[in-house]
Amino acid sequence: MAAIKLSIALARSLSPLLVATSLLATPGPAQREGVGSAASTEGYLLNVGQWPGSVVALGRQGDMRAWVEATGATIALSGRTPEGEPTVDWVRITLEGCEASNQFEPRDALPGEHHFFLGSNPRRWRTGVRAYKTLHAQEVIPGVDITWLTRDGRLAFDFVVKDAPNVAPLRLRIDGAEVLKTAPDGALAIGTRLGQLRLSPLVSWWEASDGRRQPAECRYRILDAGRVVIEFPKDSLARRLVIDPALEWSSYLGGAAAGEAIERVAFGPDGTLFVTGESGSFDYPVTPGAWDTSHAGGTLGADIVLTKFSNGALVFSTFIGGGQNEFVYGLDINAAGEVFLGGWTSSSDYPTTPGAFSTRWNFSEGFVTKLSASGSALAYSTFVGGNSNDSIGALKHLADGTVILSGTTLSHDFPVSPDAFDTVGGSGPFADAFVARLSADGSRLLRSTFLGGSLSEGAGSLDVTSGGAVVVLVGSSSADFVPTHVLGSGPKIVRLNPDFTSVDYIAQIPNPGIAGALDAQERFIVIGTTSSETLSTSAGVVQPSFGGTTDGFIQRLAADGSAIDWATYLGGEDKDSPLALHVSPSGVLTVAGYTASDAFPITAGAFQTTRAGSSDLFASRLHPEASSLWYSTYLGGSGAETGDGSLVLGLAVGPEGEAAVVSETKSLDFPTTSDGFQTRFAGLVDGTVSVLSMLPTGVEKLGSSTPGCAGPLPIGVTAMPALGASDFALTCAQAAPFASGWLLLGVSALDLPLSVHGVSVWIDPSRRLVALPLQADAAGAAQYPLRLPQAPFLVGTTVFAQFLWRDACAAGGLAASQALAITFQP
Amino acid sequence: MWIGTGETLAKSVSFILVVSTRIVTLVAMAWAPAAAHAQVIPDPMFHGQWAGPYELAVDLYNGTSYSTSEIAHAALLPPWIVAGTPPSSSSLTRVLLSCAHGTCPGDPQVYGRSYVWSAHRPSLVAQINVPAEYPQDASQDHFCGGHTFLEDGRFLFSNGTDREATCLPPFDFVGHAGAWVLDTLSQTPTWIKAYGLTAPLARWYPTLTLLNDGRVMNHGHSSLPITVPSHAQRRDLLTWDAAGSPPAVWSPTALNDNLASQPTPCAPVAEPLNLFDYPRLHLSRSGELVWTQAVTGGGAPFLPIRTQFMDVRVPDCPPSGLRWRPGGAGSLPEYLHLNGSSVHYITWDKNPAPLGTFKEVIYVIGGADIPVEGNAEDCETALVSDKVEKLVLQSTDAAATATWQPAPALEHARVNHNAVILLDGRMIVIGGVSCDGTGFVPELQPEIYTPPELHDGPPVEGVWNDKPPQSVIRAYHAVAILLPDGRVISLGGRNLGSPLDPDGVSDHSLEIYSPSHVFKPGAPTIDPTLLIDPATGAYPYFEDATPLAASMTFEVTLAPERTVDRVALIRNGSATHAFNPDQRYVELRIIADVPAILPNTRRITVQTPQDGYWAPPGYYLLTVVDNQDVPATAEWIRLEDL
Repeated sequence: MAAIKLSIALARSLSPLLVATSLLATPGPAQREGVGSAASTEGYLLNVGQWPGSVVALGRQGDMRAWVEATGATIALSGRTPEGEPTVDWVRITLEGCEASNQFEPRDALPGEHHFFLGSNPRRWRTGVRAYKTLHAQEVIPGVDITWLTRDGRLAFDFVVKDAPNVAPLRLRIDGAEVLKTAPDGALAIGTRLGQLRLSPLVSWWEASDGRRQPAECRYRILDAGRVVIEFPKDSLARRLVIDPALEWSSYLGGAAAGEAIERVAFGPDGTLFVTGESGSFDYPVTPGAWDTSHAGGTLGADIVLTKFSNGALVFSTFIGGGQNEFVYGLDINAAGEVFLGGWTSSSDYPTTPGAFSTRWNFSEGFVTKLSASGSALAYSTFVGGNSNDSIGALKHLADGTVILSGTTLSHDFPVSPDAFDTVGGSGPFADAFVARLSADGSRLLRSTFLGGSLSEGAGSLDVTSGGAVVVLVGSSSADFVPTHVLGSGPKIVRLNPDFTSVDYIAQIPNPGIAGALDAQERFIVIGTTSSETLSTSAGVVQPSFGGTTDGFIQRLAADGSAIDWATYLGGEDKDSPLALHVSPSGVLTVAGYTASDAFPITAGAFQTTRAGSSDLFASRLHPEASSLWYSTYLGGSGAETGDGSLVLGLAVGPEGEAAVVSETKSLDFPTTSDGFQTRFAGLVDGTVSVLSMLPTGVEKLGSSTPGCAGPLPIGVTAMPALGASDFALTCAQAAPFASGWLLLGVSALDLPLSVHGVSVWIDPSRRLVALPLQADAAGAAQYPLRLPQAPFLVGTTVFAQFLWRDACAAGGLAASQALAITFQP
Repeated sequence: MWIGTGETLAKSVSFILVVSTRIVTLVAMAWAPAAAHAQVIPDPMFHGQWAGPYELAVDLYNGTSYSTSEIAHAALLPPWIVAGTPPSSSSLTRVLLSCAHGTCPGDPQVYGRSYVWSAHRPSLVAQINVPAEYPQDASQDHFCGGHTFLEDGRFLFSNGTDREATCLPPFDFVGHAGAWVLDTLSQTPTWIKAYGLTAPLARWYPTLTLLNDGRVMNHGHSSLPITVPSHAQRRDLLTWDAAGSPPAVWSPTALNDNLASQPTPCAPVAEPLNLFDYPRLHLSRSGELVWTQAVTGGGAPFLPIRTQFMDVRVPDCPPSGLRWRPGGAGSLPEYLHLNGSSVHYITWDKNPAPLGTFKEVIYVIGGADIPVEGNAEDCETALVSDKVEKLVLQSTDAAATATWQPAPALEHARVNHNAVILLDGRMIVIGGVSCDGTGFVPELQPEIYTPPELHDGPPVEGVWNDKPPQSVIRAYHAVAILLPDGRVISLGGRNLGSPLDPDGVSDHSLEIYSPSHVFKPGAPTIDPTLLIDPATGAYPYFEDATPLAASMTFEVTLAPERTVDRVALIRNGSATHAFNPDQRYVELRIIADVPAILPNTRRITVQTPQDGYWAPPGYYLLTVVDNQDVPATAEWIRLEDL
């Protein structure tokens, strides 16, 4: 596809200015200790009718109460008079020009519910009231958002001035103050009868191009006895260079009592995030009403934990486990949001349900547990195994509710179908792999087969074709587990027919494999780790040569198992180990793992371009043919992430192409976002949950997708939009196969979308707009290269792009991606 | 035959002269008291017990006269298993003894020989068959070579002294280029010639190191053929080893291909670094080879240089050469520990759950500030140390992050001792001598230390505890290794010198020390039924396999009220010159510990090591230690790099 010539204009400067302050009540000289202290806050308890209608929420900080209202807040200070009598004083802070109709959006629900049984009339009772970490309101005055939050244990509020040049200084009206003055440190001191209420010195900054903050000079200026103005500069020195952070959301996850290992992650059908792993901490955060809110312990103290987030807020969180030890290796979510877990337990009292396939425990068992969408009940839970050790290595639910399982068994009486492909288990101490299909209600194994020979086999990753064939990665040491295609001496990829009575192929691939997945053409892609510098790679792949020490290795098996289509290294000079893989319907590869290399392949404009600790996580996105690296970043703090014999890492890709990576960390400074569920290291080893946009510096998502037949349409880029870049392209996927459509390019975005044939268009058609016709490929994907001119004056200029596709499933016959704001980088 | 009481030669030790049929040896009789008649018999449940000495018939008779040999190498062989017969650890315990000391042509000498010693017949040895193609011709014996076990359990023995050259001017030891493999897995082990180094790379006092993927790296003191200046002259050059003695690498493929391929000599590097003789090299779990100084080095000018690290996580020699780089976070060990010993631990702490934490330390024990070998005159200026130091290694980039820390000092300063890891994880130091400024002073009392890393929680340093003395003085060249049943054999080496023979004489006896745990009731027992037979299968590394496939499951019977505290792999040792390059303690992460059917029986599942850097491929002793610190007799298992 030929590159196009862009006709662009300068976008207006949109650098947001963030102004932050915190509330601190300082007790007066007559106050007793503890009054008005800066004790940790409990978030903002939403008003659902238990208080007067003007109140949005109540924030509490020690003895101080902040009644948040649409136009400001009333701060109530408790204390005692000089005579020692209890008393309350108040200060009301109002943002002038603010409308009382402002709507606040609560974010990040905190665990627990509050109940208000007011009076004897149950109609006035309010139960199940939630507290939230933050309250956010947009455009409280034109161009200004406000966020109430907690910072360092104190109630605080931030202003976001989105268009500073056109926004007047913010004026605060202070009622109830005995005196106003600015402190030498820049704070605003509000004198009251009960001491001093301080608004901390303003901290403000411009967003810089690489996500760093550029400090801005802001200050309080007292106008009169009841009014204060916040003055800020009208523009930053640099024009707007960016954007949404590449790290969309990131959080620690763990308790203080022991360690956590977050093993797997999956997106729910509504974009919610499910994570699971193991925790030894009795104080791991769980939610009231969840299936199991107490840690069952065990000799190693590990229970499974399952936690669901929505927009960064905790939805539910539960333990699952018995008195011994559990490990979870399989996680899947169905369309109803129900959760399937598979793994291994040594707990004889691991919870099973009546009528389940097996409730008989033999030493250590595989298990499959299905939880309700609310996380409060078990739909079913069953052991899967025989008279010895068994483990579930992976699982995947099918549309009919059945679940395909793969795993490893030392049980020679593991139940297999009489007509299965392999009815003979391992002998003596040698394990066999197995593949089984569990009924929708968890009561029966519908089909089951061994896979193996006279020595040891074990099964890990599995995937299922559209026709129901199961492809599974089998580590194998048995020479008599004979491959149909000998391509090397590594693991064996087995493709079973849907009823497991025969194999389509058993391909022994050349190199180690730890995980794999199918693409839309039913080709199995395998990732692994190698220390060999002499592996055969393919021409044109992203890394044909060994980087050093150990490298990741990615290879794609042909759909019939007869050949390796391509193979590539992925690694730097030190130890690199990919541990998880996602293959999108259009074949785009996302790989995550850990690395100790300083020279791991990292792309320009990535979230983290240098290694921070002894080992960091990495997340990389590759072209479907592994011919180029579209995005690759480190992710880690100054300590170690995973490794140390544990290899804990999970990966999922969301509907808009974002990558969720979970792992474990010993870093005190693992990158978290300010809205993360847990922004501080809890101790020992914590789990981590991070969502990366997988977009480089200079690229920002706008709006939302109008879904088509295959759901939302992810839009992305192949490189940072640096001027002169020859490898920059726009990508879109999930369109209908061979669909025709348009790439819209414009110079201005809309705050609210236009609806065109049911499609939300986010690019302003009243400014310059180009619609470029194009056609999707057989996988419904498209890639549109843009040659970015080498013109320095364009640095900082923003253009906007959005894909529209004809799509039979969309209401108006059209589907659309999100839009991207693309700001040219030097 | 006892013939009389000798004079007390050192503090708290008295001696008796014992005369065997061929030699006269000083033998210690009492443990602590100076008066021999007031002998104290310590309770073996607390102090263990010695058995022996057993005289071994390793001197050779050529029809007219005996030729004295000196036992200098010992290695615990993996089990020889008869197909269809359950393995039995005790009956299959075999140890290779290699002892040779050639003289020059014309002497009544039969060249170096090696033997198999069996634990069930402690006083007997069987000479290893020498096939017709055995390279033990007039130019080589087994003296002062290097060795390690290969990934398939065979034993690689490389280099040593070139006897013929020794017999020619300048009459110094000269290194040999050859290499041999012992087929250990057959009922009758046999030597097979392997390709050694090319002649210019001939060396003696090498250290062989098995790497993660089965390759073997050879470092050592090169010794060019006789056309170049003498060995003694060359090794005085500080940069000589680096420039002239690059490491050589054997690939397992080559060794399996009828040993037909030569090892790859890596390109030399330019750093002015001398690894000296028998460098103490340990492969860290981070993939770096760690040099903690050398065992010895003749008269070389030893300097307190920083600990060196070589990244060996490359499949072959990199184009730029394998390079040593200083590490240890800038810290130096306080002592040189020449002719000292070292041991290597990777331990697991259950905390924090669920996965726990691994630690890695190398203990360097005793030694002197200058080499103290078999010459009494070495003692005139040497300062023999009782100091113990440990190098704490991190899981990645050990070079940058490793730190030296002091550990509790020995009760007895010593050199040429052997440090052996016991089945319960403690370490024992056996034998050696100290110096009094004029000559050797024997150190007969072994000492045992419990590394704090063995137990969960913050480290609590203990002390070294004296144990009953052994009977025979074991100085330079003496060796000691662990047996699967927990006992330790101590044998060979040079006996204490006398005014007539100040350098001592070769000893041919073997003693067996049974640690205290052997006598404690209620030792756990491992039922190996569920373990993979090492002769027919192996465990993959955790990184290579699905979780269950990368685990070992077995049942263990415990005494009532006891629980399993730890599970560990200890690699079978091969010792020489106070250093055992194979010995390694790797604790395993317990992932299931559940009741089995029989009373007091638990089914234990442990995770295999992450990769071959944590535990190089090959045979290991698997042991379980209960919460009373009593270990089970070990079972053999094998790790494999898939």
